[in-house]
Amino acid sequence: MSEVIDRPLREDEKPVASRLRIVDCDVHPSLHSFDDLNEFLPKRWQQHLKEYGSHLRTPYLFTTPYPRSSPLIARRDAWPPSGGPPGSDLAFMQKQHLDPLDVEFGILQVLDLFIFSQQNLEFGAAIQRAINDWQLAFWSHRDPRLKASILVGQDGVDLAIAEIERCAKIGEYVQINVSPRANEPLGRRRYWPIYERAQELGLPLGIHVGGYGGHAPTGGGWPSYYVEEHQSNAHTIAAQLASLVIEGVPERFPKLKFVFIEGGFGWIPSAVWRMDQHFERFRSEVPHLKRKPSEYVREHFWFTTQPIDEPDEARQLRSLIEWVGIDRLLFSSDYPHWDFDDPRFAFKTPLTEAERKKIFSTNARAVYKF
Amino acid sequence: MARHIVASASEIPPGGNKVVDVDGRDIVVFHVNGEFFALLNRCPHEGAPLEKAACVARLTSPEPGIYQRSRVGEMLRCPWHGWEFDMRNGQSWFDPKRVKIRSYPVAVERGEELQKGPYVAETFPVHVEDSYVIVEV
Amino acid sequence: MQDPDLAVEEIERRAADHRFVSILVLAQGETLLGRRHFWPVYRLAEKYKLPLAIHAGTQYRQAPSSAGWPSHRYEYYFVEAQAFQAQILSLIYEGVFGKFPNLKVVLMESGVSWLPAFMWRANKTWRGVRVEVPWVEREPAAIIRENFRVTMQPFDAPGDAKSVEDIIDQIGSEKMFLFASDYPHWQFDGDDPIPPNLPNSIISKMCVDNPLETFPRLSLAN
Ligand code: FES
Repeated sequence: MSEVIDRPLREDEKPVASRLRIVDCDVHPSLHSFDDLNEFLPKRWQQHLKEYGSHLRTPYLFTTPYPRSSPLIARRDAWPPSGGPPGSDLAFMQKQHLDPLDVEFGILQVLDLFIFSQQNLEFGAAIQRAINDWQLAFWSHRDPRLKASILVGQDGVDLAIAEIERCAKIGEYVQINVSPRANEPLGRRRYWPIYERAQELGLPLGIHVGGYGGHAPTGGGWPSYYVEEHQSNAHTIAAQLASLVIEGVPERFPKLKFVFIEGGFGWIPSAVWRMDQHFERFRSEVPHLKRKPSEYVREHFWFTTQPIDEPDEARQLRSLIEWVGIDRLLFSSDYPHWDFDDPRFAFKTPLTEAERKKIFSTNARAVYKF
Repeated sequence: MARHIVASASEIPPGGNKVVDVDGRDIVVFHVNGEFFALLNRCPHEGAPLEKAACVARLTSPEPGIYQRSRVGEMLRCPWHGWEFDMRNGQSWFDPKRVKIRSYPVAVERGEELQKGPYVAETFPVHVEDSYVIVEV
Repeated sequence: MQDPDLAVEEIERRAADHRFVSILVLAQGETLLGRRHFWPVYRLAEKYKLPLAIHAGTQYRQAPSSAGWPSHRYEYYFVEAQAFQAQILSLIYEGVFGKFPNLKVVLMESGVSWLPAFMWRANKTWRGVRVEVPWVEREPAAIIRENFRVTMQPFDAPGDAKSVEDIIDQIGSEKMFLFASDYPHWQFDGDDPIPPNLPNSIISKMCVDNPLETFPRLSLAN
C-alpha cells in the first residue's frame, strides 16, 4: 500500500537521458474529428459515415453502453490545450508522455469509431483501411518512435486478408490487430486464414481489450455498472486465451505470436492452472493438443502489464510476476486513458535492473523485432 | 516549520488552484467555499498532478440507487485513477488512515500583520492593504 | 429464479423444514444475481439462515463468455469460473450486502485459485470507480471474505506446495473454505478429494467448522 509521498522527486524518478528507455506497448492516438479520415476514405464511405454512422451491437450511436468513469475514458490532464480529444495532438503527446517518460518506441492502438465492432463489414473494412493509412501519415511518419498496427476486423476474413496484404507491402506495421469481442471466439477455424498469413509474414497478432461483439460482457449476463464491465475485460482476454489454446491454434501455427493488450496479468496464473488441471480429464475431447496448455502459453503468448495489479503487499505482486514468468510481460501505459500506468510508479514491488529491462524493453523488442 | 507566503488571496479564484514551489516541493493551493487548502501536488498512488483533479462533492448513499452529495467541491478526484481525497486533511476516501496526500496548514493574513514576520517569501511583494495565503512547510 | 415470486413462495413453504439448508441457483441464469428483482429471495435467505448456493451450470441464455460460444466442453468448463466472478461483482455492486448484511453466498464448483487476483482487481477498480456505486462502502475483498464461501473442488492448484500456501495466504480468510467432493460427477477428484498441498491447518476447518458455520441449519437438522 502506498505511503504518503512527501518529498521532492528523487533523481531516479526524474526523466534523465541515461535512464532505461522504455517500449510502451499501448499508446492511444485519437482522431481530431472524422474529417481526419477524409483523405483516406473513399467518398462513398465518407457519405455513409455521415448518413448512417456506426452500426453496432449496442444501443447507442456515438457512445458506449456503460457511462465511463471519466470523459472519453481519459486522464483529466490529457486534454490537449490546442483543443480536440485526448490523444489527438502529437506535440502534446510528446510533451506529456513520450519525452518525459523516455519512450523509445510506442505501439499505437486505435479504438476510435468502434473500429472492430462494425456490423457492416465493408464499412468496417473501409474505416480500418483509412485508419491504417492515418496511423502512418499522422503519427509514425511524424514521430518514428510510434509504430502502427494493421487493424482488421476478423469477421470479414477475406477483407481482413486483403488489408493485411496491402499493409504488409508497405512494410511499416509491427503487428496485426484483431478484436477480442467478435462474433465467435478467436480460436474458431473460420479465423485461421488470418493466423496463417500472420505466421507467414512474421507479424504478431495484437488483441486489445474493448469493443462489443454482441455477447454479454460476462458469462452471467449484462452487468448494470461500468465498475463491473471494466473488470470483465480481463475475463474476455482469459476466454480468448483459452479458445486459442484449446482449439489448437499454437499447435497448428507454431511460429505465431499473440500479444494480449490491456487485459492485465493477475488472472493468468490461475487461468493456466485451471486449464492444466482439467486437461487430463478433457484430453480425449481435444486430441489435437500435444502438450499441456501451460506450455503453449509459455511459448506463444505475451501480455501487457496495464492495468497493473495492486495486491495489499509487495511480495504478492512479486509472486504473481514469477508465476506468470517475467519473459511474458510487456510494459504498457495505456496513455492517455484514465487507468494509465506510470512506468516509474506502477510496479510497487522491487525489481532488479535486469528484470526491469525485460519488462520495459527487451521482451517487447524481441516480440516486435525492433 | 516555516511560514511561506505563496499567493495573494485574490489571485486564486473560488474553485481554482495555484501550484507553488516551496523548498523544492510542488504544492497546490485550492480555494473552495471561501477557504484555502494546501496539498502536495502529487497523488500518493502513481504521482498524478493534483492541480488537474476534479473538485467534487463527498458522495455517499443510504441505499442502492440514491446518490447524496455534501461538501460540494471539497473532495479531490485524482485526474488519473479517480481516487478521492478530502482537501481538508488529504485523507483518501477508501483508506483514510493509511493513504493520504500530505497536507499543509494554511492561513490567510493581512499584509500589515505579515510585515511583522517571520515568514519566508523574500521575492514576493507584500502590500499592507492586501490579504495573503500562507503555507506552513 | 425466473420468477422470484414463485421462488419466495417455495422458500416459505420449505422454511420450517430444517433438512433444507440452502437455496440453490445456477451460475449462469437469465440475468446477473445482484439485480433488485431477486431481492425478495435474499430477504428470506437472510431471515431463514439459508445461504445462497450458486452452483456451476447454465440456462444457456447467453454465451458462456464474452468471447462467444466455444467449440469444446473443456473450454466451456474453463470459462465457467468467470460467471462466478461476474456474480460476485453483481451481488456486491448492486448493493445486496448493504441490504442483507448477513446473507452468505456459497460458490460451488467455481474453482478457487482465481480468488486473490480477482479480489485485487476488484479492489483496484472499486477505488477508482466507486462513485458510480457509492452504496458500496467497503473494499470488495472485505465483503468477499465476509459474505462469500467457496467449495474446494476443483481448486485449480499450482503444482507446488509453496504456491498453494501463497494462494491460501493471499485469499486471507480460512473461514471461506468448504470441503466438497462433487461426487458422483466425473470432475470428482478421485480417491483423495482433498486438493494436494493444502496446509493441514485448514483441513479440519474446511471439513467441519466452516460448513457448520456457513449452513447454520445443519445444526438444527434433526
Ligand atoms: S495517480 Fe492518483 S489515483 Fe492513481
